[in-house]
Amino acid sequence: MPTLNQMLSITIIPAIACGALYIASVFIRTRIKNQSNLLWLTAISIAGGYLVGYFSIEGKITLLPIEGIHWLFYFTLFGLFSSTYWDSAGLRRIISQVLYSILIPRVLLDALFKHTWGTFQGIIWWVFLSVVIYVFWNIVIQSFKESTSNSSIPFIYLCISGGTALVLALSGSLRLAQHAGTLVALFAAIWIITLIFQHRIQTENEINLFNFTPSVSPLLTFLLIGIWMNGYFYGEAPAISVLLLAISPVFTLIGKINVLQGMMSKKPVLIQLGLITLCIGISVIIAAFRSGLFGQDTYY
Amino acid sequence: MIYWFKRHWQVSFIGLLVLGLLAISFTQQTESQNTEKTYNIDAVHSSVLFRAKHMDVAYVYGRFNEFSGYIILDEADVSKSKVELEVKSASVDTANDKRDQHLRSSDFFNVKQFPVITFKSTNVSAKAKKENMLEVTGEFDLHGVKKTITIDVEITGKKTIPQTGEVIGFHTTFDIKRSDYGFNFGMEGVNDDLQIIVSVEAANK
Repeated sequence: MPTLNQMLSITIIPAIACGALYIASVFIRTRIKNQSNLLWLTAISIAGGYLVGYFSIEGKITLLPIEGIHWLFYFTLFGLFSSTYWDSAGLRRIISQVLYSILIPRVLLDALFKHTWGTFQGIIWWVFLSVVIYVFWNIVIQSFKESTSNSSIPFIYLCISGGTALVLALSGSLRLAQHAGTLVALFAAIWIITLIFQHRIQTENEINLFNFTPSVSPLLTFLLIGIWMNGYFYGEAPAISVLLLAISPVFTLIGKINVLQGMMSKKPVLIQLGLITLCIGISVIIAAFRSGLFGQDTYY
Repeated sequence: MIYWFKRHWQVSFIGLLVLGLLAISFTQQTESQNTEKTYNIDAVHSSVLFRAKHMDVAYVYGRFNEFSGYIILDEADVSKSKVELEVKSASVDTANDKRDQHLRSSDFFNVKQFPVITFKSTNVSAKAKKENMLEVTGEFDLHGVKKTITIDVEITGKKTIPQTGEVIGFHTTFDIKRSDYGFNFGMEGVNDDLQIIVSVEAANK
C-alpha cells in the first residue's frame, strides 16, 4: 500500500500545482480581450498537475515507452498540444480526432498486437477500440456543452476518476489506481476553486471563465482512455466495470431526451449526478465482488 | 582416360594420396566440431527461483513453474558454448494466489505485456583457477528492459543415466536491482534487491 508521503506526492502536490495553474489561467483570461484564444489554459492546468503526479508515481520519463503506462506521459503532451487548436480549427479537429482514435489503441496495445492477437483478431480489436475512443471523445465534448453548472463538470469527472481508482485498486493494479488518484485530486482542486471563485471573478464581456470547453476534451479523453485500456488489457479490471465507467458521462446528456425534459427542469444537476454516481457505484461493486474482497483472506 | 592414368600412374598415385589426406583432415575437423553437445533443459528437475526481502525484514522466495531452454557445451573450446533460457512470467508462484495475481499485474511483472523473461548468452569462458566454473555473459531481458549481465555458472555434475542419456547440471545465483528493470512499484514493501537462483538439469538426447 502507498505510504502517507506517497499519497501526498500523488494527490496533494499535483492538486496544488493544478490549482495554482488553474487560478493563474482564470486571471490571465480576465486580462485578455480575445479570450477564445486562451480557452486551452484549463488543459494546461490539468496537464501540469497530472505530470507532477506522473513523476511522483513513475519516478522518471521513459523516452521510448516500454510499458503501456509510459504512454500516459505522451498522451498528456499530445492532449495538451491538441487543446491549443481545438476550439478554433474545424477540419484539423476532425482529422486529429480520427487519427488519435486510430493511433491510441495501436501504440498502447502494441504488445498484444505482437504477442497475443492474430492478424484478424487484432484488426477487430483495433477497429472496435478506435470507434469506442471516437464515440467516448464526442460524449466528453457533449458533456461539457450540456453542463448545468460550472462546478458540475469537474465534479462529474472527479467521480469518474474516483470510480476508476477504486476499480483499479480492487482489481490489483495499484500503480494505475495511483494515476487515477492523481486525476481525482486535480478535478477536486478545480471543483473547489470553481465553487469558491465562480461568483467573485467577473469579466467585462461576461465570458464564463470556469466553463470547461471542448479544448479540454483531448487531454481528458486520452488520460481516461489510457488508464482504462491499461487496466483492462494489461491488468485485471473487469470489462463491465470499465464499460460502465466509460458510459457514465452519457448521463450528462439525458436533458436532451424529450420525455425527461420536464423532470430535468426541476433539479437537473441532481438527476445527472445521481445517475452518473449510480453507474460508477455499480462498476465499483462489480470490481469489489470480482476482487474476492468478500470472503477471502486478502493478506499477503 | 584409362590410358592417361596408366601412362602417368605416379601422378595419379600422388593425386589420390593428396585427396586421401584431405579427406582425413576434413574428417578430423568434423570430429573436432562435434565436441559441441546440445543439452535441453529438463524442467522437471530444474528450478528458477527468486528471493526478495519483505518490508526489509525477511526473505520471501518465489519460483517460475514454466520455462525452457538449451545449453550448447563445447568442453574442448568453452568459448563456443551457448546458453538460452526462456521463462514464462505468468507462471510466477509464491504459494499465495492473491500475491501471485498482484505480481502478474502491471505493478510488477506485467505478464500480459511482457509474457517471457529471457537470457541469451553472448560469451562463455572458463573461470580462471576454478574448476567447473564458467563465466557467462549474456543479454537478460526482463520486464521489457534488456541488459547485458555476467554471471558465474557452476557445472554441478555430469552423468549418463539409462533413462535420459547424458545429463549435466548447472547452478547460478546472481543479484539484480529491480528498479534497473523498471519495477519501481512498492519499494517500501519489497526491497530493490532481487536474488535470482537458477538450477538446471539438462539432457543430451
